[in-house]
Amino acid sequence: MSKTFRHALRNLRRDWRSGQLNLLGLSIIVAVASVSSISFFADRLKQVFESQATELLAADLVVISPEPIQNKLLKLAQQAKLNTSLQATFPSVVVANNNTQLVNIKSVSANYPLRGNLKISDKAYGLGKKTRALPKPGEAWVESRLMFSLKLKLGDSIQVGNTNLKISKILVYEPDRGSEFFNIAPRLLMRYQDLEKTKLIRIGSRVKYRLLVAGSVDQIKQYRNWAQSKLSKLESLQSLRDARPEIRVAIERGERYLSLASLVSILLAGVAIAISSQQFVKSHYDHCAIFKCLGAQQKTINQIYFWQFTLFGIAASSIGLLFGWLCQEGLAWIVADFITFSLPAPSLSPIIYGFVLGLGSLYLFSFSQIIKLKNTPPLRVIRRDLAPTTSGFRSIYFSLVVLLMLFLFYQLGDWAMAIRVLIASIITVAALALVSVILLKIIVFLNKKSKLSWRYGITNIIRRSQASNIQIIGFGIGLMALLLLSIVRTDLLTQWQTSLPKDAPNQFVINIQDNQLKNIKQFFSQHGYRNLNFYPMVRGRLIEINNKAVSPKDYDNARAKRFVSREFNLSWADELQEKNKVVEGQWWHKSNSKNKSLAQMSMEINNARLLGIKLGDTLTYVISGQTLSAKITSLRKINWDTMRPNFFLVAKPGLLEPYPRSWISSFHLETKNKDFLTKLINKFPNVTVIDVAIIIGQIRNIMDKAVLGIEFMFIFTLIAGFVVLLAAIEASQDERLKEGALIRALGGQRSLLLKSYFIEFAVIGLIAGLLAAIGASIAAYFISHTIMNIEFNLQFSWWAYGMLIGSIGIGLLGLFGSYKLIKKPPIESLRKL
Amino acid sequence: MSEQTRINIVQASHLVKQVQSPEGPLTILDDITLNIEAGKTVAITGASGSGKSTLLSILASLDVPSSGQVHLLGKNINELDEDNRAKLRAGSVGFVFQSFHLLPNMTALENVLLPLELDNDPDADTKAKQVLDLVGLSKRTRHYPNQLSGGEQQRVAIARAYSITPKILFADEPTGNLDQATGSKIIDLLFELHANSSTTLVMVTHDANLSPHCDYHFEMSAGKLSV
Repeated sequence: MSKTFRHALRNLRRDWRSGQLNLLGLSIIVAVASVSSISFFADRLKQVFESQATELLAADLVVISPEPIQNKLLKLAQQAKLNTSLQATFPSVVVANNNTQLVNIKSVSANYPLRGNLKISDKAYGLGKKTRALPKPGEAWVESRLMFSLKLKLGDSIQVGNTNLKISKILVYEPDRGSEFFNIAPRLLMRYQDLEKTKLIRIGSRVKYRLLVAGSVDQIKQYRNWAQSKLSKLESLQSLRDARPEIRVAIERGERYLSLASLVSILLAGVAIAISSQQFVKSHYDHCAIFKCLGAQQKTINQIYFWQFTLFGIAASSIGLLFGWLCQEGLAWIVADFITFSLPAPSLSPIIYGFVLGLGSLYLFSFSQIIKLKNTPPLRVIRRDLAPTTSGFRSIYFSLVVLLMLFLFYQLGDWAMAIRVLIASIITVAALALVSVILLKIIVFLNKKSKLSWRYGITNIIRRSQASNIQIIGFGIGLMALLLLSIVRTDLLTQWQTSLPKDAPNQFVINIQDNQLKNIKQFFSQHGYRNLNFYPMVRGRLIEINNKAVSPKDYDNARAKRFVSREFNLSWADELQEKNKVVEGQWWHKSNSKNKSLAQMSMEINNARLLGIKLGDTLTYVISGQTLSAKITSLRKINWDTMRPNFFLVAKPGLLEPYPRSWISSFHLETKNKDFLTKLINKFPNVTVIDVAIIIGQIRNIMDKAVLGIEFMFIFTLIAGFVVLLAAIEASQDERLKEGALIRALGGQRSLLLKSYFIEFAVIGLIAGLLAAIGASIAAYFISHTIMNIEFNLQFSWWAYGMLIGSIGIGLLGLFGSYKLIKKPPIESLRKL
Repeated sequence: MSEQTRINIVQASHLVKQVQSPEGPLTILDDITLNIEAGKTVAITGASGSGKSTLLSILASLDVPSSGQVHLLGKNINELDEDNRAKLRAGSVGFVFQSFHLLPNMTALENVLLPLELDNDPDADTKAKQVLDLVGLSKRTRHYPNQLSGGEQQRVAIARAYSITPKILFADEPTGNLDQATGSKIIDLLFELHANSSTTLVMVTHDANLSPHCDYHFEMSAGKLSV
C-alpha cells in the first residue's frame, strides 16, 4: 500500500469522524439510491424475461391465432413426434353467489404446460406446490382474488357460460402468465374439452387460440420452417426470440422514463456535492498549509485527496446502493398485484452503474475544487487570508451540463435526442430561474419597509442568490411533479367522471350473436331498458394501404404497430353517430351523386394520422379469411365521453353485412339493479358484460400504483433539494455564525435570528411552491385539453397547497438545518472574528 | 563545539520584501542580511508590523524574497520551486505558531502523528506518544484541540514540531495567545527540548524578556534588522 493511500485512509477516517463529509456523503447516497432503485428493479424484470424465457411460453414454439388453429398444423406436429397442447384464452363474465366477475379464461388440453410447471394450493393466497396435473373435466382452478371477489370456497360451483364448473384448486402460478405481464382480470383455468359446453366462443369473441409445441432443437427448427409456409393470414409463430424483444423494449422504456424522473434528483445531488465539496475544500486549506509546511509536495496532496475521495465515493455509493435496493423492494411491492411472476436477485450491472454514477458525479463536481487544494500557500499558517481562488458557481454549472449530457445519452442512447432534451431542460430551468428572479425582486420591493427579521431573512436570500435560485428551482421541480401527479390522479379523474352525464352508460354488453339480437332487445325492453342502440361488429385486420402491404415493422409507434398486427372491430352505420363529427370528406348519406360506390369507409382522424392514412386512401382488410377493400371517404373526430360504443372504422351499410358479426350495446345500470346482470348472464350465458365502473376502478388502481412509483422518484427530488438546502446552510455557516453572534452581542434575541432564518427559507419555499403551482397548472391544462378532453378548471386550492406546503415545509427544514447556528454562544464566534 | 556545527544553517543576504499596496509598493523587509549558526537559539524581536513574521516565513522557505538570497540547510531557496522547498522542509524543519494551527478534526496524538505519517515513519505511533509524554500530555492523547487549554494546545504543537527531530525549528510568537504564566512554561519547554537536542531554534516574539535566554538576539524595526 502506498504512503499516500495509507494517509488518505487515515484522513478519510478523521474527516468522516468529524462530520465534515456527512453532507457530501448524503448527496452521493441520494443520487445513487434514486437511480439504482430503478435500475435494480428494471434489471430484475429483464432477468425474468431472459433467464426464465423457455418457461415464458410454456413451450418451445407457439402458433397463435384469433381463430382456431388449422388442424394440419397440429397433425404435422404430432406426426413429427413433437409434444403438443392446445389452448384458448378469452375474457368472459362468470357468475357465482349472485355476483358477476370479469375473468380471464384459459382452457387447456392435456400436456399443458409443455415447459415449466403449474403451482396450485388448497387455500387462497397459499404458497403453492408444483403439479403436473390439470383440472379434471367439469372442474376449474381459479386465482385467489376470484375466490374473494365472488365469496367462493373450494368445491363451490361457478357458472361459466352455459355450464357450471366445480372449483377444485387455487391456481398460484402458470409459467406462461409472464408473457401477459400485467393482468387485470383474475385467471380461470379449465379444460379445452369443456369449452364447447360453455358456448362462450361465438362470433366476435376475443379469443386467442394457441398451439403449443415442444421438442428437440432440430425438430422445432424443422417444424418451424414447415409451419411458416402453411400459416393462414391470421396465424403467427412465436418463439423465444419473438416473445422477448417487445417486453424487453417495454421494460427499457419504463426504466428510461423513471430514470428521467430521477434526473432532477441527480442534478440536485450534483449541486449538493459541489457545494459540500467547496465547503470541504475551504475547511481543508489549513490542513494543506500545514501539510506543505511539514514538507508535503503538491503531487502528494493531490494523491491523498484523490484516494480519500475515491474511497469515500465507493463507501457512499455502497450505502446509496443499499438504499436503492431497499427502495426497489418498495417499488416491487407497489406493483406486486400486477406482476404475475416472482423476481430474481439483481445482476451485477445496476451495482456497477451505481458505482459509476456515484464516483462519476463525485469526481465531476468535486475535483475542480479539490484540485485547488494543492495550491494552498504554506504561508497561510502565518497569513490566514491567503487561500487558493475558487471558481464558484461557474464550475458547478459546467459540471451540471456535462453530467446532464452524459446521463441523457446513457438513458436515451442517442446523441441527437440527448441534445434536444438537454436544450429543452436548459430552457425550462432558465424559464424557472427567470420567474424565480422576478418573484424575488417583487418580494424585495415589498420588503423594504418591513420588520428587521423579515429584512434580514430576505436579504440573506438575495446575498446568496445563486444558491437560493438553485434551491428554488430544485424544490420547485420536485413540488411541481408531486402536485401535478396528485392533480391528475384526483382532481382531473374525478372531474372527468363527474363530467359524464348521470345516466351515461356504465355497462357494455358484447358478444351478442345475430340470432340473439331480437331476444336480447326484448329482454332489455321487458326490464325497462328501451331504445337501446345495438351496433354490429365485424373483426378484421388491416393488411394493405393503397394496395401496399403493411406490417408492424413499418411503424415506430407501439399503438400503430398494434393496429396492423391485430384484429380490430369494424362497424357500419347509416347515420353519423352522436358526438361524431366529420372533419374531412363527407358522410355517405350527404355524398353527392358522384360517389355512389358501396366500398366506402370513415376513419377516426387520430388513428388515421397515426397510420399515415389520408382521405381517399384504399384500405384492405382480411375478414374471416377473405379480403375486402374500401376507400376512406371521410375522417371523423370522436368524443369518447359519451360512453357509447364508438368505432375507429365505420363502413357504409351493406359493405360488411356478408361477414360474420356480433353486436354490442351499452346501457346505464343503477346500483340497486345489480341483479339484472345475473339475470342477463343466466339468460344469455355467452354474452359478456363489462362494468365500466370496475374498469375505471381498475384503471385508477393501476394509475395509483404507477403514480405512486413516480411519486417515489420525486420524493428523492425533494430529499435532494433538502440536501442542497443543508449544503447551502453549511456553506454560509461561518458567515451566518459571525453575523448571528454580532446581532446577539448587540442585543438581538435568539428568536429574532430564528424568525429571520424561518422567513428566509419559507420565502424560498413560497417561491418554489408558486413556481410548482404555475408549472403544474400549465401541465394540467394541456393534459385536460389534449389527453382527457375535459374542460379545464383552474383550482385555487392547487396554488394554496403549493405555496403552503412549499413555505411551511421548506421553512421548517431550513430552520432545522440552521438551528445549530444559534445554539453556539456568541462569544465562540466572536473570538474567531 | 565541533567545526561542523558551526556551519550556518540559515544564510540570508540583502533580503528585500515588497508588496503592492494602494499607495504603491510597500517595503516590508529592507536589505536584511543574517546568518544563523546550527544548534543555536535566536530571538527576533520587534513591534507589531515591524516585519518579523515576514522575515521568519522567508527564512523558513514558506515564502520567497522580492530580492536577495536565502540559503536554508545549504540550499538556495530562490532556486527552488514550491514543491522542492516543501521537500527541503520535510523531516528537517519544524514550526510552532502563535495560533497553534492544530487540525481540529484530529486528536492530540493524530496531530503529532501527522509529520511522521507524511514521512512514512514506521515507528510513528511510538515516537508521537514519546514526544507527547515529553511535553507532559501523555494523558491527553485522545483529546481534540477544542478540548484542550491554550497552553496544552501549544504543547501539542511543540510536540508535533519536535516529533521529527527537526534540524531547525521556527517559532512565530509561540506565547502570543497565552497568558504570562502559561507563556513562560511554554518557553521553558522550548528551551528544555532545545537543550536535549541539537535543533536550531529561531523564535520571533514581541516579548523582549526572552532575548537574554537566547544565544543571539536581533531587533526588527520598520523592516530593518539590528543586532
